[in-house]
Amino acid sequence: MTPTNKASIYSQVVKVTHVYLGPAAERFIDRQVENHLHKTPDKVTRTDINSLIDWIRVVVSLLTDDEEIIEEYLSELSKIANPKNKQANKR
Amino acid sequence: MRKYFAFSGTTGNALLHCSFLAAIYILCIFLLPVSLQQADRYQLTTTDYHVIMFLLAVPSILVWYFAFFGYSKLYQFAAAIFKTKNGSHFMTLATGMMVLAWSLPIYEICERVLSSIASAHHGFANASIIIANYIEVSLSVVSFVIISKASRDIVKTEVSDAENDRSKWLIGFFMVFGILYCYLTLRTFHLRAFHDAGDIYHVASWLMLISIIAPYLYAWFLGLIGAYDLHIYANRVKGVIYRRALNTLVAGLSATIVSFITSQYLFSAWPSRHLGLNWRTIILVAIRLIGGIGFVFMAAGANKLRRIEEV
Repeated sequence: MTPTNKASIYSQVVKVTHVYLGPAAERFIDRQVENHLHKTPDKVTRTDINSLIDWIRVVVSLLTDDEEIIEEYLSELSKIANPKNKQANKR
Repeated sequence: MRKYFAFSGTTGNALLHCSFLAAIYILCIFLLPVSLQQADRYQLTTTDYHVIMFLLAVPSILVWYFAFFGYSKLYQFAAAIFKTKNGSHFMTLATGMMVLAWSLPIYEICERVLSSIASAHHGFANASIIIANYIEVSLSVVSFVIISKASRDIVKTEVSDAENDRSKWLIGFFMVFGILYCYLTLRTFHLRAFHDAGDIYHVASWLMLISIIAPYLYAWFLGLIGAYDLHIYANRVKGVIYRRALNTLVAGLSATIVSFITSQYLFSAWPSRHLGLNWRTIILVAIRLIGGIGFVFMAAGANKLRRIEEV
């Protein structure tokens, strides 16, 4: 995977998170990546997304009781992890 | 100021300070001499008078606790985001809310002390009223100037056309609000004999206009603009979960500012020297309690936002 793709995965995750956490999105993802994946944000790969989703599910549950919003957020993140599924859904 | 905040911004310390001020106020109520004229008017013993004053003070003291709790939570959120582009602005907002919170006990304690001095030295009565009024006006102006500046800086980070959004209806509303206030306040004057015992402010009408009415209107306008700017910011910021927490904070802060303005408006436009439970007292207490609940909502919103920054 090219460095550009690696960076774009992190950017994609932050972009999705921005819809739900606004100005705190980047800081939130940085913390999850550093504390739970023990990586720097620029080293996040597509294979890390599923682990990240599991951690985000737990953490976001502490921030809101709205299950619908949580599932919507995680579903959007899953599309980053499985882009082929996303393309299949588009067809 | 940041060092003070680091000490007082923790909830425990803020509530400790509040308890200290509440203790001072209660001591003032029970230990300082009472107005014998008032006590005689209502056929109360001095002990009865002290007890009634204490009971009337209880809702105020409760609101102080809410206020100190509220600003400490806002400070903690501001500290969590201090290194971000909005961090310093939220810190300034927390400072403004801190001044607003502290103004409540400071004014009450000063007013109690001044009243007691006036009870013992009748020649000081007019001066005590004037000084108390000026203390309240000064604290209001300072707190609302800070809150307005902070709100303006916060909204500018998201909304470039904030100036246009301060639509004409807000300015028009405030014009009516201000004109009505001037009418209600000035009608309390006995213009021919402002030394009359019925006169509440004990200053000439022109001095009242310049030094009390105008600063109050200025402070209230800034406060309302500040609340409006934060409302615009909360509506424009992205993030579903973030916005919900921010809306709670802004709703609480707006309720606090509006209740503060309303109680000052009613208190100064509808003054009374009567002691006891009448409709005016009940309405003022209710408005103050709404303000206290506003501080609690502000604290809840700030707490949620802080958790977003920390989990």
